Amino acid sequence: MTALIATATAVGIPLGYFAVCAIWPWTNCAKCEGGGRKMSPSGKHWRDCRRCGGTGKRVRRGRRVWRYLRRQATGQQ
Amino acid sequence: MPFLRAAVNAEDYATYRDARERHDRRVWRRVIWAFLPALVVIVAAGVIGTVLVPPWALWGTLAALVAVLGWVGSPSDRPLLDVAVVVPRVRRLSAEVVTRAIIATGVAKSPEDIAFPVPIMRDGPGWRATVDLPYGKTAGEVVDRRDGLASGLDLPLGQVWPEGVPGDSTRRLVIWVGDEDLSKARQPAWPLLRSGTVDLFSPFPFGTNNRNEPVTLPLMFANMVIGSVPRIGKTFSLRLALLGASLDPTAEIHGADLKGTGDLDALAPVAHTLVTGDDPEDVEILVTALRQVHADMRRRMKVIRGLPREICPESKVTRALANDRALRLHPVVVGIDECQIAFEHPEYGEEMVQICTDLVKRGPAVGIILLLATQRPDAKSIPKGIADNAVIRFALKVMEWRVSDMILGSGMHKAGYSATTFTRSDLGIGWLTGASRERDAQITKTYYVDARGAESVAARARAAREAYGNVTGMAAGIAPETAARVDLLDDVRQVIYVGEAKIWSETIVERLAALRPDTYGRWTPEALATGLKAYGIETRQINAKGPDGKRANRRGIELGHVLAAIDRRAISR
Repeated sequence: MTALIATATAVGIPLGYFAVCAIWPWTNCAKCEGGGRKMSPSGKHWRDCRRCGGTGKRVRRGRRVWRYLRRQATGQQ
Repeated sequence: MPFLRAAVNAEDYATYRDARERHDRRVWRRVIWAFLPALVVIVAAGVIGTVLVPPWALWGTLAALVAVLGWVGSPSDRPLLDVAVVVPRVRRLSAEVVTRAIIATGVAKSPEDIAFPVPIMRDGPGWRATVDLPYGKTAGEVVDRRDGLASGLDLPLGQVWPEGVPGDSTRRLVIWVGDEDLSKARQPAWPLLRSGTVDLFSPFPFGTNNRNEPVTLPLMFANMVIGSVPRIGKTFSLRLALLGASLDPTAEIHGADLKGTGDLDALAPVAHTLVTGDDPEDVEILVTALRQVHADMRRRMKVIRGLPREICPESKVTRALANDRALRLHPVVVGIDECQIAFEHPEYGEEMVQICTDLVKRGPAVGIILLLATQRPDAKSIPKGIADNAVIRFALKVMEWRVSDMILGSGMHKAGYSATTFTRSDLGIGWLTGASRERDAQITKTYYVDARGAESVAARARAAREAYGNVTGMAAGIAPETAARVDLLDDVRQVIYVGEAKIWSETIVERLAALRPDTYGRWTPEALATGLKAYGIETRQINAKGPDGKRANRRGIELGHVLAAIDRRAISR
């Protein structure tokens, strides 16, 4: 039973993450947490988040890894 | 959506979001246009159909629709329904083919050597060819080369069954060629699987032979030996026989699965004794059960001896006697799987051999039947005295003709009955001898009853037993008596040594404590007196020699009283 659960977990979680990367490639920017804005150091003004360029989104790491691997495999670009 | 994927790859979220929104809008529009009208039509039709149209019109429309669709969709070259014709796909067995096959085995050299005393004819679902081999050749030689014969007939091995003709010339051979491979042929379910009970005094269904005729097992007054290599169906055959016996509500069932995989566990609701495994306590349960059966056998002998001739003309148990509860002559069926474990047991082996030898010799007349299954019934695993008294033999696949002969009896291989010809896929298929009056030996495929089937049969047997009032022993939830637990009387007998007619209680207590410290370690002479009182043995002043060699008067018992108590118990059981 324990082995079954362990196997299911070990197989299921990566598969699930793979599916998420395929269907929803974007996730919230880690810096601004999806807001797209950051408070200035003085705490008075909002500025666009520099990391995501104000969109609040970034591409998931799994998707980047996938892209990298594909590029390696196909030899394109 | 290559555009969307490119946007993700370029990590351009603004473009992605824009394109995604346009895409989603377009797809939604399509979905709505595709499904909304269909939904409207279905709902409208449903409303009209249920409210406005009478039901007959509804069914009529359906029928018309089916007819129209059937007409449109039917293949153009033939009608939808054909005339029912069963095409016989049996190939006729010709004398030429049989001759060719026998020459292929090398037993005969030219077609002139082979004679067909009887024309080849249909026999059950197959062909039967009777062949006279050349002088000096025996049927056994062809049986040995069954695979060559099958090759000569150009048929799979499972369809070709050569055998000798008992009581006829040894050169006469019967080749039965089935229409189907026996191991693959569809076998009907066990007739007793769903309903019915068994009268052990008449045969009950056990399997089918290669002609697909039922084969029955007359267990009464016959012991049975089952042998084969492992994983071929030995235990299943034993279980089937025991299940059949358990369906006789009067019978007392003792089962021992010394392999210990639980194949006989299905019998738990009906078995007086059920042993699974070969741990010391399991073996003790078995030994105790065998001792009880043995003691019961002697009681039965006395009962039968005491019966008037009108009731018991043949000095053996009959159905009427077995049904008389007061006599307690009901059938007792003992089945031991992997019996070599019992008979080669270092501690109890010899005792069990003795008991079983006596049971197979004298038991059948008083209704005690022994079923033994083993891999190789040689002198050690089934002692000769036991094997020689088993009337029914069932040999599934074995590797060597000597082993086959050990199971079926010597000379059977020569006569053309050999269990070596079976293959590993011939599960539950074996030579059964002694079960039928008409046929010496027949290839029998036992009915297949799996564990769930066995459980349902056992449940039915249990119900029949409850109705009859014969749920005893472990089936009734009574813990099995083991040698260590109960037999104070036997233990006391055991610690009275040769030449001791009278003995002090304290000496016995000492020796009992040494014999079984767990049980008797803290016993006092008073406890012994109480224990023995239950068997009607009184302790009294005994003048005997103590351990120091001096005579003295102490409380004790006499050997004669113990022996009398053992006899009393044997009779009352």
